[in-house]
Amino acid sequence: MKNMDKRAFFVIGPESSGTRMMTQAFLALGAYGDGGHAQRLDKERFKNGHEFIVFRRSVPHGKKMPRIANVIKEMENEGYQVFPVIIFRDKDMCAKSQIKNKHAENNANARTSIKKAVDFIYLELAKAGYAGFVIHYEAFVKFRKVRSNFFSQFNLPHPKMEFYNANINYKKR
Amino acid sequence: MKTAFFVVGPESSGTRMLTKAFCALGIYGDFRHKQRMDDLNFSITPEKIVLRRSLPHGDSWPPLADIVSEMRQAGYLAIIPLLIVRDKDATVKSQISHAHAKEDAEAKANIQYAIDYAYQEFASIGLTPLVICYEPFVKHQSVRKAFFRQLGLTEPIMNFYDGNEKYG
Repeated sequence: MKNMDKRAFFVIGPESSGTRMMTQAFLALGAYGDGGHAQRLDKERFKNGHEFIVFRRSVPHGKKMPRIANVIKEMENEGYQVFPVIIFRDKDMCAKSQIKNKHAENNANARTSIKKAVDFIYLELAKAGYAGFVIHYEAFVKFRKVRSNFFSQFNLPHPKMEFYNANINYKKR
Repeated sequence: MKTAFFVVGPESSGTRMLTKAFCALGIYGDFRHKQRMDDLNFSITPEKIVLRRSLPHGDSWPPLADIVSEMRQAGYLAIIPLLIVRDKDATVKSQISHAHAKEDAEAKANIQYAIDYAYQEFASIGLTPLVICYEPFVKHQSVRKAFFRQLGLTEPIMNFYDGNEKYG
């Protein structure tokens, strides 16, 4: 019998949009998963029965566009209630961060990649029959009340974790 | 249950188009600048309503939290805040072409402030907005279907087009 109390938070966003930070927030709340690029769930997948998991995919992830709809179906097949969490960051800041982290060669490439990612995410979610829970990076990192409300919609408390606005690095330049 | 859909977004982000979609479903409201519920009197309005506020709305920043309070007092127990965002580059171009901003920097600052403002106002009353991105919404029927389904609604019969095309 499937345990529908099992919850999977699937964190998705363009590269450099804050998916790692969001994943770490779920880890701070006790979710099973990893905040770095390599994740145990990459290999284990979703069969081990953890009640509360977090899985992350940037778009693209490495050089591939992740098959978001398939991952959601896989989670559902293992009895998880799936919560796709999508994070978006201000396009100028996201582009600057992509260039700094070598995800894009220049501003034009970064902007194209971000636009494609947004479209791709919504299309994949729609394919799986989801609309997703979208949050904007800036409002999330700057305002505790926004974070509290965001987590309370999942009946989760505010995580014990430091949040900071990494956009400040780029605005000074 | 009396339900209010509250559409907000930066200027030129598609709030009118999204409001029009709710109106096309028979929900009471107006998608143009002037709206019958501008007086914020929700006492004699129907079971389902849609109200639109761009951010800013005209020359002022609408008190979103206070508007929600008015809706609640009128018996709207389900209030769904909807935040529409559009590709930043296209929004900037549209804001300038509609004289909402004089130059790129002003438009960009407006957009970021508007998004922060929406989250903060709704957070102050315990709400998180449902966010939809303009481009996938107007381009893909499957995205619109998923969006309306999560609200317990069907997809409206209405023509959608990508207003970004004119900006290249």
